[in-house]
Amino acid sequence: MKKVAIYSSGLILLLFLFWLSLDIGIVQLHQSVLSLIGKHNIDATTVWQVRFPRALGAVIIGAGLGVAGAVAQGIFRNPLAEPTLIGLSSGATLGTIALIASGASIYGTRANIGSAVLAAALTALLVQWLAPNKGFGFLLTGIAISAILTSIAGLLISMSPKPGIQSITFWDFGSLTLLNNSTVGMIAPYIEVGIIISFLVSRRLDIYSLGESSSHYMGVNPKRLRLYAIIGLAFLIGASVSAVGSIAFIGLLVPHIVRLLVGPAHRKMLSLSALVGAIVLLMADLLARTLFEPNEIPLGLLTSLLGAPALIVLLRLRRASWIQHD
Amino acid sequence: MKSRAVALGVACLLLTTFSPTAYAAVSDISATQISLPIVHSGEVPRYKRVVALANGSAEIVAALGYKSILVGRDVASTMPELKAIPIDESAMQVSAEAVLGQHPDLVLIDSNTSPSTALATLKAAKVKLVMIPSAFTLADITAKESTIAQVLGTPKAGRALEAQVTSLKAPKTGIKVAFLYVRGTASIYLIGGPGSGADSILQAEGFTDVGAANLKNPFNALTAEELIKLQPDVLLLMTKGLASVGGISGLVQLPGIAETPAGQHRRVVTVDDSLLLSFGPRTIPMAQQLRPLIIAAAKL
Repeated sequence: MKKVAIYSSGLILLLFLFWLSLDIGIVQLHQSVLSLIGKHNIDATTVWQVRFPRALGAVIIGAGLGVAGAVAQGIFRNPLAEPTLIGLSSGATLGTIALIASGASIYGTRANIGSAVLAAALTALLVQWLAPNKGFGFLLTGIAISAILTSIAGLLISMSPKPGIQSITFWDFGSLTLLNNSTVGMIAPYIEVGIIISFLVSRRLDIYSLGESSSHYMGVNPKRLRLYAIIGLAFLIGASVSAVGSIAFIGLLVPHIVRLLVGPAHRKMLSLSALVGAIVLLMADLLARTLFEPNEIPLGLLTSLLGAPALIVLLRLRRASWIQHD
Repeated sequence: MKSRAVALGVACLLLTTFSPTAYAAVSDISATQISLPIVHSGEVPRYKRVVALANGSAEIVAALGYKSILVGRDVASTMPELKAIPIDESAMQVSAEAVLGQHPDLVLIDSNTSPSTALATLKAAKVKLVMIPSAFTLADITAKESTIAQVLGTPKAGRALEAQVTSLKAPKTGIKVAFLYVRGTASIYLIGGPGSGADSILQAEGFTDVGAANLKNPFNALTAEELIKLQPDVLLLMTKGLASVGGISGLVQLPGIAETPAGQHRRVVTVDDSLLLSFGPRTIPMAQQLRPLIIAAAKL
């Protein structure tokens, strides 16, 4: 019963935010959003060519980031293992930028998404391979690799005269400005694949959370599970970073909210993480573009500014059972 | 056999990469297309060795008919006629030593000439420094030209040059133009508003600058919704600005551009970066050439 209430209120909130995203902005609509379906005037162009892909992109990417956070925290058995902290995002950023800087591809192409996914996966594997198997070794190695890759990406940007390479601010803080119907259509399948892989490994993630040796006895091969999870994460993070840059804190915050609502079982957590992630990103983007209209605030600034205090409050309100586990 | 196939592949790749078609559709006014109008008054200037550091001042001294007395110039006076005169600045900073090395009897500066330490050095060396007003719109040009003419002691040449500015007036066309300042490589994407400088030129040539009419600041963030609201018929850009976003095919990829009449019909006019907002003697001939280009673009 509680579950139904949570999901239905979440869905209603998501729909309301989606409608709001279509309705408000710099162009003041003269008629309702629904009456603009199939029309061809300035209002319709604004709603269907600009606001709709942006809102839909926020939902898809937000869902992907929420799921990615839950999977990352599960597979690395660390409540801090956010994709931006463990090198996945910076790997994806470098993968995208390197391809643009080399002139082999431009922003918003399949090649670009593919190279981001590949680079994200390779980075995660590299971090795993380099990290000492004790204490905070894994997280610290992730932070170090992240710093290296972000610096290389920044260097490439300052040296490359290629049009469309964007600024390091775009890649580092993220922005949904460049989303249009074709980019959203291109990244959506990748994020769907990532979400499907995440669901496929969710039951094994529960077993894995009992510990490496127990999971081995229960028929789960930890090495293989980690590889699958990393591939899923790479699809989720690679596709979203290649289109909107890295957006901080959603992957960290959302699973913590969700665990408070439905507990730590991964399958339940993943679907609710997708919903909450979509709500949080849609809300953040709505604020980012309307708060100081006509100027837009870099999205990552806003997610950090709102997400970090929310996380602190959450942690203090109720020491999450998750943390006591570890 | 294999190497031939590779060579063919490489050739195809090169051809597609450097194909000029992406830029072919854009009408452009380059710096070489506009020659500096030069007046001949027969007056003899007061100074014999002039270093012109004020933005665009070398151009004005030359237009007054006294290119021969210029021994140093600012970086912004870039037209081919002045090529032989040394530039006494690097990275927008005046080099005191370079100026002193020219033994000038007059140095023209403006409020943007920096650094102040170099100017102090020049003052200490008893070099005559004269402050020239800056020009950011069409209306500022005459004041700048007449100040320089007075300093040189050549008022007749000054009046002849000013007469060209007041002659500029064109009938209204009803065409809506937006001036975009873009630098794709530095991620700068702006729409010109009131006071961008371009607005004064567009208005004098009979166009409506939709940015100036609807926006608040001289330069405003370029967002998809803002562009859709403005619905420009034609876009005005700087030549290198357009190239920095990947030409016209890159421009229409920027959010909102494709949703304007200008973007749909690829109506874009570009003007050389150092020319468009130079507000000096070349501005009038440039503006006169711009008008038919924008009118032709609006018909695309």
